[in-house]
Amino acid sequence: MRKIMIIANREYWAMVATKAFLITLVMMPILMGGGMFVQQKLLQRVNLDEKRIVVLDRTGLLLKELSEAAESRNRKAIFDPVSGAQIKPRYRLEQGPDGPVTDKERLELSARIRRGEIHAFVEIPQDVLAVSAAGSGSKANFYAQSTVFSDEKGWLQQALNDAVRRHRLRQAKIDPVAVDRASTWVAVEDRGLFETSKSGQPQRAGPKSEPLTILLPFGIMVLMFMVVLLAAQPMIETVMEERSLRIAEVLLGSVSPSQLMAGKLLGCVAGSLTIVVVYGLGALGLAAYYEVLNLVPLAVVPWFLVYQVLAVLLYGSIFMAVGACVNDRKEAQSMLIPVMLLIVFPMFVWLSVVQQPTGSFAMWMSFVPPATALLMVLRLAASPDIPLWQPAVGVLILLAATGLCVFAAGRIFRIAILAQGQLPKLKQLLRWVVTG
Amino acid sequence: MNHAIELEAVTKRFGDCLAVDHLDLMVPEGTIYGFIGPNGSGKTTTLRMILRILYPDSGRVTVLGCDRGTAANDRVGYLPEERGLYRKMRVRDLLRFFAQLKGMRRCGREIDDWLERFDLARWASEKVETLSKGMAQKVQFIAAIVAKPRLLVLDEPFTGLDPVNMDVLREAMRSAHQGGTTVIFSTHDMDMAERLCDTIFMIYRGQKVLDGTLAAIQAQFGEDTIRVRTADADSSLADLPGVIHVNDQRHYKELRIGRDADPRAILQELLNRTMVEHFELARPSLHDIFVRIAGPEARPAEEVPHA
Repeated sequence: MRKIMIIANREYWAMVATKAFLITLVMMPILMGGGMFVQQKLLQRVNLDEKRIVVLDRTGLLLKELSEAAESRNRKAIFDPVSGAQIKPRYRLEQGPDGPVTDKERLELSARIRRGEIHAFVEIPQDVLAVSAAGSGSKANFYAQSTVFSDEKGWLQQALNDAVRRHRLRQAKIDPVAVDRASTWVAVEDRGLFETSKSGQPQRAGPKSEPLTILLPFGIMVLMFMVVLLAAQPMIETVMEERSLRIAEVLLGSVSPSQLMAGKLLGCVAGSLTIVVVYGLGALGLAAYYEVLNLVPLAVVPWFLVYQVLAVLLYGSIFMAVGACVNDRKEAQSMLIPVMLLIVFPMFVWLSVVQQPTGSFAMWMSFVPPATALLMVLRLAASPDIPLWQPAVGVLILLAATGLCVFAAGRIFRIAILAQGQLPKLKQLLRWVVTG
Repeated sequence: MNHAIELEAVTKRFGDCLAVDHLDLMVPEGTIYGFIGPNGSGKTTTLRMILRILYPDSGRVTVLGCDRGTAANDRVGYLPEERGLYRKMRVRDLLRFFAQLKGMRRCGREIDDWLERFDLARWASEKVETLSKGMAQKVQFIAAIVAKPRLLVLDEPFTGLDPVNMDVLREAMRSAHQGGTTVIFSTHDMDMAERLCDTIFMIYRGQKVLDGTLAAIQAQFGEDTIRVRTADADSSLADLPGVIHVNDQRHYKELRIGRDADPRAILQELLNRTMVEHFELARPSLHDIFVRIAGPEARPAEEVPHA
């Protein structure tokens, strides 16, 4: 045991006392947070130039109302409610040529769009005001260079339909104002479940923040993902170094392969716990700063630690086996692709799981060993209603899978670490695992 | 006599390759034992089995009285053929790590003494990656010897060292030996083996072909060698009566003669041809014995590459 601790101690310091580790530790959240920040800023950065839209209104009745709607929008909806700064472009509607539209006119207007003189033009057919018995109305045509993600088209569609509806109501002798009043929107708000307060009384939970109920569990899962990657991946490098520089031979002259592997895994787990403490305290500090500490599911913490240790052991042993088989990083990359797929697999299903954390899909997915740690923690953070037996069974499943993995990786490690030459084939790896 | 190492009918196979074949070997405690043999003959495999890095397919390996497990390893120091040191570790930390793995708890003083002795004291706080190859090799040797092992296993310890460092290393080996440590080392340097070893063991194709003191080994081959230097250095001596093989050593020639050959007749014939400056009837050198066993002459005809 003493030798295992000596190796674990060296492994731990070799991991955490490197510049690369410290830089990654600091940079990972900055890059991830920074990425989201930049994306948000880019989305906010819009062209504020006035957008001119030519309206070919064959009804002769709608342009005035549409122009009024545009003016109303220009007065109210284009400014930031807090800062008062303009955040959206103004729209100005222009009347197009009268009479039936010819392709020549369409070509001319298209040329004006291409020259940047106008942003778009829209054709409103004459029969747009008629009420179709079958319910299928006529269509207006919108022409612009790109209509995907077009705010103008969306606004125009809404304004046109509002104007058309008012005309139709008036034709049917119904007061549009009364209809507007009758159509007042009723909101449905998310609420947490009732719970028993400390005094034993039923207590209503506060209003839930929809983004946080999804983002918080996701954040906790991503934290574990980062910890596993940061802690387990250096295993490849150190084992590769021990193999290529023949350090393994000196070590194996003093300790058995199992002691060597156990020490390395223990160092790896200690390293991962260091990362958890750093990130965990950081996350709690942020939560306290933004006054959302009450939303952090602290009951998940013990489960998080158990699952994280098991996940680090599982992937750490796999990474060690990979490191023991390869001669350089290039070879490591080709062997790592399937391993990385296993690690990122929960990322493909997390949204379905977090939406229905107590559902059967979420439950079965969280019993699949490579994903158990991440998905079970995600579910526990998403819902307090997961029956206790499920994370307990998850721990047993992961414990069995980790044991199997450490055993198999140990056999590969023992043979491969001293071998030289070509990358072993899958068949050979399996033979090592089976025969030892 | 107690034996530091006992190998009994030890066999090790790698796939189709028989690396060590029913090897028996007894290494008495307190000796310096030289392992010689061509590349790929099974030296390193044998050493690795002694260290329990590899396990034999059959046979028994007893090291310092232990015939299973790695219990003896704390008392065995090992310098592998290919040097293995963590590049990013500082020299003193690295030596402490290896010493602790051998069970030493307080080793600061020993480490400093050894660093001083090998003229490495000012490198103690430097990272291994800043050391030259020779310095790294000395650090590796200290790592093998710092825990005061009872058995020191050195796989080609002199490779890559300059003559000064060779002397330092040889001196360290001698002093360890005088302190009661059994030293085993493999080498391709036959002069070094002759000068340093009490006993020499040669392995060829996985089998023991020589085992004994230098004198005993030479006695097996008899006085079948003549070292001769003549005024006419270019003259061919291969046609002399009874001469089997001529080995040109630049300053002199080594003639191997047949069992029935008469050295006096050879000397007479030489005197008839040229002026003889030196004529010595000798036992074969270890180098010569090695070549006789493992050289092209000894191999079956189909294995000898055509010139």
